[in-house]
Amino acid sequence: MSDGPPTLEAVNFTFPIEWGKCREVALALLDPDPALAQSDDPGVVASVLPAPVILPACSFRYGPQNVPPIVTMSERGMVDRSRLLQGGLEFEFYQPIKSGDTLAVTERLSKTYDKKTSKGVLRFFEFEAAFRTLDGELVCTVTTTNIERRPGEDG
Amino acid sequence: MVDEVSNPPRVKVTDLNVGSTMPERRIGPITQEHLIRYAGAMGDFNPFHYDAELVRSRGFKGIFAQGLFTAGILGQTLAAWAGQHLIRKLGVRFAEPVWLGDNLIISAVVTRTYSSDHGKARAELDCMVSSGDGRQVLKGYATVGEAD
Repeated sequence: MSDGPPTLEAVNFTFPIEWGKCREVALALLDPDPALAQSDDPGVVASVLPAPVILPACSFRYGPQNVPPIVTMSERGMVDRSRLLQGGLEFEFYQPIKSGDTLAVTERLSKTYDKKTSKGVLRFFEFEAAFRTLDGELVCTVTTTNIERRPGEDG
Repeated sequence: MVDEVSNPPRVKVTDLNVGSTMPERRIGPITQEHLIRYAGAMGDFNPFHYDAELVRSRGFKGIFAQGLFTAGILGQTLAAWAGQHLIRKLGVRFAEPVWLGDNLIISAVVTRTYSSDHGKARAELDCMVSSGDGRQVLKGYATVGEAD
């Protein structure tokens, strides 16, 4: 593995916001709306559902790699998955997302930087996924930070 | 399964002030079924969330929840309180693992109110998810208000 910061090509794909997926994810996230659990019939539950807040984080399933980009990097030997920590995520919404929408996604490694700490060097990977309408209007961005503990004093 | 705030009333962003709080929600205990449902729904099949033998072989005391599972519960709790279409931002940092059997306490407090560049009322919140035994498992921040 090279010591230099790795790069990753951007990927583009479309992300259909499916009614059933919105309901399934909302129920898995213990959404307090009791109507969601009453039926799986769009004629009974609202026929248009808001996308759960974190739904864009599973868009990778619709992309060419079908795994999050950090996993792609691990599979290519660009990062050591056993040294990875999940740093955090930020979702920013410019418009609501609802079932029936189809979004165009561009996912890329936006930033890589190292920080020296008392416990060694940490390498930060920031991934940004931008979600737009098919007309190009920005709907949402998701920034994901992964941290790799670099080999050093701890081995 | 405890869920003490099942359907909190919606707030008006214009009624929020610094110090206003989202009604605390207590849920749990978190079970393996929760994590499997989440894995299937979101596509996160990392074995650390269902393979007890593997996680113990790596030095963990047991299976722990996907970080985004906890973040997602916070997101849906905020959405039920403020309205999903009013969530402008949600950021999270994972502080400690959520273990099977943990209860979760979800809370948020308004730290700033302001008007957007387009005059829309906005409120910023500090968010927190704690375990029943007092560990802070997630720190977060959110902004709610109409889109510009």
